[in-house]
Amino acid sequence: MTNDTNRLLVFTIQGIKYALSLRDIAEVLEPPPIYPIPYVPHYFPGIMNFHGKLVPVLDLAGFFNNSQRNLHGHVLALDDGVANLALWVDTIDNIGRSDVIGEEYESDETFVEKVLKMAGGEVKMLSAKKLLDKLEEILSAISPQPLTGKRNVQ
Amino acid sequence: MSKYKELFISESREHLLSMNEMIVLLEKDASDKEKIDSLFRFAHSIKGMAASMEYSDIAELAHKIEDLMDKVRKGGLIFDSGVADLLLEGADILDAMILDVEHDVTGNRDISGLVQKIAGYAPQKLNSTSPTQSLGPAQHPSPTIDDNKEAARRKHSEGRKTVRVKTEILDQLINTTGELITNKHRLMDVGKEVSSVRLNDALKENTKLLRELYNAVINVRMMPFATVSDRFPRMVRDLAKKSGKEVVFTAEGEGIELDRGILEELADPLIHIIRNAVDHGLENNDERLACGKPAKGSIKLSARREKDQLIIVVEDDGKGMDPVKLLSSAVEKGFLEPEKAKELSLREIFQLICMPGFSTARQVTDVSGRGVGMDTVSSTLQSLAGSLAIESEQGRGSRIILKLPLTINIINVLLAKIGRFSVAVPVTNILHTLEFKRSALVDQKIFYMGDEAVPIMSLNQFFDSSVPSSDSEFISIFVSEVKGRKVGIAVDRFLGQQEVFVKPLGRPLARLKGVAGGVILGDGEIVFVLDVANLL
Repeated sequence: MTNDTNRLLVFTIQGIKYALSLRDIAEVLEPPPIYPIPYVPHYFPGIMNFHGKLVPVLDLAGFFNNSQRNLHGHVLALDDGVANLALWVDTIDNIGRSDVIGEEYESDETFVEKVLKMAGGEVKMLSAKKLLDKLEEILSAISPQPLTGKRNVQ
Repeated sequence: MSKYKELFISESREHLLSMNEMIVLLEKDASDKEKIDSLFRFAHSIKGMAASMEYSDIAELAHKIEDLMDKVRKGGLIFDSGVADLLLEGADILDAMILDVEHDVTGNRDISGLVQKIAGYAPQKLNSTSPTQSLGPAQHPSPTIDDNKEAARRKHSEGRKTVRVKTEILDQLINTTGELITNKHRLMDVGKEVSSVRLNDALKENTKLLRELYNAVINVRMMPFATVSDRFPRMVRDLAKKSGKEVVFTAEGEGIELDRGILEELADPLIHIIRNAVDHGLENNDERLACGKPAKGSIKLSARREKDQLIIVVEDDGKGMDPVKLLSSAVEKGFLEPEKAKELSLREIFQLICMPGFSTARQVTDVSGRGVGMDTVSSTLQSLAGSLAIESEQGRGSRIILKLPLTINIINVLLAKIGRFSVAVPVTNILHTLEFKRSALVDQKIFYMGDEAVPIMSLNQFFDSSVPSSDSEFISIFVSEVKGRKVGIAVDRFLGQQEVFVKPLGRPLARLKGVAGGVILGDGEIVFVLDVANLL
């Protein structure tokens, strides 16, 4: 019997296929209105109202490759048990079943848990945990300007 | 968990809390017959409830405690520190056993030793040392505390007669009320666009009803400060005994009520502060006598309301902090540049103990007389949109002043515009707002409030230096106190004050320093609530 625990959502970022476990995803959305977040890196284009929750959006193209996001892409809101985070991706490919995949191998890419061989080619299975650990590390290290008295009023 | 088991756990814990409190009070004044009766009744209630739930070990231990209290009640035993120690030990074990019940752990405790100790306790002769003289810490009961506590307890127990509500439901109530407030602003925005008299009348009525709902929900969530402070007499007693000091602990304002969310967060910071006061703030008896102080040290905890703020003060009459030693330690440890050290005010110097890692350094602890955890205290206060101030005088003692909002999620904020951002600043973090001509401030780093030079920071540069500021002739500044120092923070303009529902940011954005949450405004815009102290 198949359930959400062994199903994957496959999506593309700049021509490369990635996947996340379907159980980690709450909803797939058209790009919603977003509002700027102060002093975060460019790959956080903003924060959105997701059913009353405040959810920052991470542009995966900007985060992985330092490139511009596809404005016509999609947003994957992660399950709130995983994080308060949504991922901006280029396209949604399909929902696949992990149990039909034959071969898989480990990857040395930081956020890729393993590489799956599927009918349409290789798919990089992302680790939500590694991604979040890294984002938390980055955000914790951002230090608003210390009190120096050197800044003037513009 | 069955509802009976849940009820047993919560009621037993309430009785235990009251027992702890009564034991410490009786240790100060063993003649209070009413308290002796109360203590007997608490043990009796726990015994009865445990027996009906077939928790035989709990029932047995409670029964022995009840027996011991019966002997005291009948005059066969004096309530001395030996009895107090036994009862407190019993209360601790009962607490642990109730925790076992909660976690479905069985047969985990061997109570036979304690049961024998209680049963075989040899009464002291009535003409022996007076119990009030043989005690460790506090010996002078404060009638004010008892009266306030009794009032708070009466009020609390009146509530118990009516209904028990799960805390999750209380949280849900405040969250839904918060969402309604957000939606009210949304409807008001629509009302402005539509300009319908009927709609505006309905909105006004809605606002009134919402205010009533908000007040009712807040009232339901309010709990007396005693809910947290009840544990401190026992804690101070134990710490004082351990450190060989004598401490008079007094508390005021225990009937003051505040949101349970704030109360829950407040317990740990207060434990840190009071523990530090006993361990490090107060001198030992000999040192105190040598410098002309009474042998017993004093720690006073007070709570009071000032408008929509709660002010909590922990004050000791110990040795105080030495600013010179604090400064030299800070420089030596690399927390402060020597030139900067000369510029710090006294309040800023004392705030050094709140720097992460500062107070944990052993040498600093030794010279400053303050222990670990003040950085945690400070950050907890900031996360609650509160603030911390420290005053100290060498040889006279220290005062730690905590300022908190009365509620946690629904607060008043000042909305401000900075470049492309709108931000919300809790009004509890604002001392003043001012407006200056922009030309008057170019290249100016400070302005004066009375005699005090206040540095100016621009939030625009923090947020997005690529976006030019407003070209308005005037610039707006709000003054906050950060780490004991006033700071003027410049924004493009103020948008007005509003009551808002603050939402958490969750993982991973909660790691971002300088923001304490987010708010959805009436037009759907999401703005961040500034955590001013951590922004600078």
